[in-house]
Parts: sequence; C-alpha cells; structure tokens
Amino acid sequence: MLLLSVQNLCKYYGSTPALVNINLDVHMGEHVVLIGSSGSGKSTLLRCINYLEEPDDGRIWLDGQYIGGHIDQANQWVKDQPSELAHKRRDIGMVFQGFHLFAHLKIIDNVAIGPRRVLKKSKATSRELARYLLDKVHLGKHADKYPWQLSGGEQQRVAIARALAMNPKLMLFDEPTSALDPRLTHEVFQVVQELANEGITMMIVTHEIKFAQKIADTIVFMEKGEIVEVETVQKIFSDPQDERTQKFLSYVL
Amino acid sequence: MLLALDIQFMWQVLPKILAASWVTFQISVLAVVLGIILGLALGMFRVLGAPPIQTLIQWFVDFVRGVPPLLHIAFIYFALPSFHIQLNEFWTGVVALTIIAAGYEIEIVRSAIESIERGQREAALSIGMNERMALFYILLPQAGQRMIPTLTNELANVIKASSLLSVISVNELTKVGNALIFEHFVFAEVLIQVAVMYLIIVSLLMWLSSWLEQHFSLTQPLQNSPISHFSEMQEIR
Ligand SMILES: Nc1ncnc2c1ncn2[C@@H]1O[C@H](COP(=O)(O)OP(=O)(O)OP(=O)(O)O)[C@@H](O)[C@H]1O
Ligand SMILES: [Mg+2]
Repeated sequence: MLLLSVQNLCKYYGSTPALVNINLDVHMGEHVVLIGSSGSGKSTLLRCINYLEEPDDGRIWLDGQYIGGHIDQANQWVKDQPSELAHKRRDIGMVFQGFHLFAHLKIIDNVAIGPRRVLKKSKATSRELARYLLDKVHLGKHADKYPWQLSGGEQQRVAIARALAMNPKLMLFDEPTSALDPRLTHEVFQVVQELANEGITMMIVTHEIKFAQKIADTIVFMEKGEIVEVETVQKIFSDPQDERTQKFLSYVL
Repeated sequence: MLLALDIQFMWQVLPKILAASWVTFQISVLAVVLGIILGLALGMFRVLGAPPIQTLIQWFVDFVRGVPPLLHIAFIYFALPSFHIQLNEFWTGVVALTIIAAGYEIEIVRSAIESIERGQREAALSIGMNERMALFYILLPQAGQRMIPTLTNELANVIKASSLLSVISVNELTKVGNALIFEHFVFAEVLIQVAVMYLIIVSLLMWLSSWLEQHFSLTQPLQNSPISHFSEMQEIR
C-alpha cells in the first residue's frame, strides 16, 4: 500500500537547484536508503518531506493527505496554516545527524514531552510511554540523566525514541551515525534494524554502504539534486543500470 | 585627605543621602522588573511575531539604543503631558528607565534564544510542536539560563542611568548629592557618600544575580548541554 508519494518536487537555494523534479513512492513497511555524494540533495529531500524546508514546487502526499497544504473544493491548492502543518508533522518522525536533544530536559522527558505537550496526554501516561520506548532502545536505566551525560550513540537512540513517541507513520533518518565514532555506530544501527524488523516504514540517508545493504529494500541513488536510479537492493549492487551509479558504487564498495 | 573629611557633616547629611538612595533603589528595581517583563514579551514577538511586528520592534530597539538615555528621559517628561498622561517625576522616571531597559533586554532575549542551536527548534517542530510551543517548552527555558549574566550587566546600567533623572527633578541620589554640594559647598564628603551608596545598590544587585546564576545557570562544561539546578526543576508537569 502506498504511504508516501513525492511528486515533482523542486527546491532551489537562490538560483542553485538542490532538488530537481523528484518523484518517489514509498510503500508501507518499505525501507528506503538514500545514497549519493555530498551535496546531492539527500538531506534537502528529507527536510522537504516534513516541510522543515518548504519546497518551491511539487507535492508531498502522505497516507491520504498532502503535507504543507490541501486541495479545496474549487480544486485550488491552499497552503496549510502553521497549526495544520504542525499537526501533519506528527506523522513523520525525524532523526537528525546532530541528535538535537532538548538539553534542559531529562532523557525521559525528552521522550515524554511530545505525547505530553503535543498529544496532551497525562503526565503519567506520557512518562509510561517514554519508559517503554527507552527500554526499546535499550536505555531504560538512563531515564533520569541529562543528555550531556550520555554518549553520542545513546543520545541518538534517545532521539529515535523521541520520534517514535509520536507514533509516526514514517521515520526519516538523516545520517544518524555520521556524528558518531565507529564504535558507537553499531549500537544505533542495531536499534534502527530492530525497528525495521517491526515493519516501521523508513527513509534513511547514510554513507554506510554495508548497513544500507543490510537494511534496505530499496536504494535511491541521487546526484546533483536528481534521482538517478531507484532499485531493489539486490539489483542495484549486482547490476547498477546508470553509469553514474556504477561509478559511485565503485568508489564506495 | 581622608583625615580632612568633615565626618560630622557627613553624619549630618546622611539621612538625606539615605532617603535619596531609597528613591534610586525603588526606581531602579521597578524599572528593572518592568523592563524585564516588557523586554521578554517584546523579545518573544521579535523572534516569533509576524514580520511587520518584528520590524517595528527592531525599530524600537534601534531607537532606544541609538539615542542617549538623557534624551529619552527629557522626551518622555515633555511628551507625556501632550498625550494627556499626567505622571509625577518619580513615575516619569520609572517609565523612561523601563523603556530604556526593555530596549536592551529585547536584544538580550533575542540573542539568547538564537544562541540555542537551531537543531533543537527543528527537533521540536518535527515532533509536531508549533513555533509557540517550541519557544515556551524548549527555547525559552534554556535562553533564560543563558540570559542571566548579561541581564545583570544591563541592570547595573539601569541603576547608573537613574542618575540622569536628576534633570527632571526626581529626588534621587545624584540630584540630592548635587543639591547638597551647592548648598554647603562641600565636595569630597558628598561625592564619597553618593558613590558609596551607588556601589552598595549595585553590589546588592550583583550579589542577587550571582546567586541566581549559581542556582539557575550553566554550570556544565559541555557546550550546548546545560545542566543546572534550574533544569532539575524543569521536568514536565
Ligand atoms: N540552507 C541552505 N542554503 C543554501 N544552500 C543549501 C542549503 N542547504 C543545502 N544547500 C545546498 O543544496 C545542495 C544539497 O544539499 P544537501 O544538504 O541536501 O546535500 P546532501 O546530499 O545531504 O549532502 P551531505 O551528504 O553532505 O549531507 C547543496 O549544494 C547544498 O550546498
Ligand atoms: Mg546531508
């Protein structure tokens, strides 16, 4: 079943195109990994999907509705009010390269604050959910610490739990391990893999090709703001079609 | 020189000096408190408000910071009556200093909010918070911690600026000091007393703020990772 549909997405920074006419479908339970060299637009694509960046053209459709706007009775595109957009963003979890935990809140409250403040659940319910999710990312015993007391890998797993707390339909990971030393990447990938096994739909940007091979159903290769190739993971590594894909893979493999 | 001071005279005028210090203290505290409230409110609109509102507030800030405090005081003193606002000298002084304090505090609030890494705001938005929630639950609590040292500086400036109120005949410390000098032609004794009183008032404030700083501010070595007594109080309710 189709979950996400990116349609003719374009994004410019000044006159430099960061995304050029992107079309991409993601199905429920699918694990899509985006690869491509630096500056190819991978982050920009993820950030446009939840409208942290506003696209210049094109549509994002997620599970029955457009993000960032809707089509009215007169068939006109109407931009979302900020509150409507905030509401739709609940469905899209995002994990950032730099973790961005809330520095003044305990680990448990980093996770609980979404349910508490956005979903307006009770404090007890929110914290109960947070504890459950912290256990899930193997951080139950760190609940009462502050972000700075945790290693990078642990912080990133808290960030994952924080996103999961909103029960999103789609999870976006933008280079979740790039800020970590290799020793710690493993523990984060482990958690991402466990979520994947549960069938959570996700889009992951990563430079770790081994991990990509392991977790992906589909690989998207981007270059200069364009999608060059979308292939199943088996096919793209054994038999890449596009010359640019071949060249990129020969570098990284 | 010190031995030549007329201690008896100093003792004799002390009640007047103390009364004037009390006026200075009251005006300063009122202006500081009202200034922080106004500064916080406008500072938030400066960051979050609609673009025209942001521009208006920036104009206000530029105006306050670009014009000498003395002119503000004179302007408010002479302009208020033409708006049919009748305030005595004391309250005119409070209003003038409040406006000056707010002008500086808006900038402090803004830069404190903007010093929180952009990523935390985006993380807040990504879990479905709107801008207002991100501001109140994520950015302001951290900005509050970062603002305290800068605010303290600012407050000392407000106390010192209160001396300018002598031009509109507020019976504050500087005015009373001047009056005593011209009445008795005694300089050193009066100036020393006035200076000591300012020092005491400012020190009281510094002491209060260093207490606040210790209890509410960044005592954590890692950057962007504040931890403090304050944050321990910051669990969600
Ligand atoms: N805020 C911005 N302002 C201006 N240009 C930007 C901005 N963000 C991205 N760009 C440009 O858009 C293009 C795509 O950037 P993007 O960050 O999406 O690449 P990426 O594939 O994520 O790269 P990396 O692997 O280095 O993270 C680049 O040319 C980049 O310089
Ligand atoms: Mg990137």
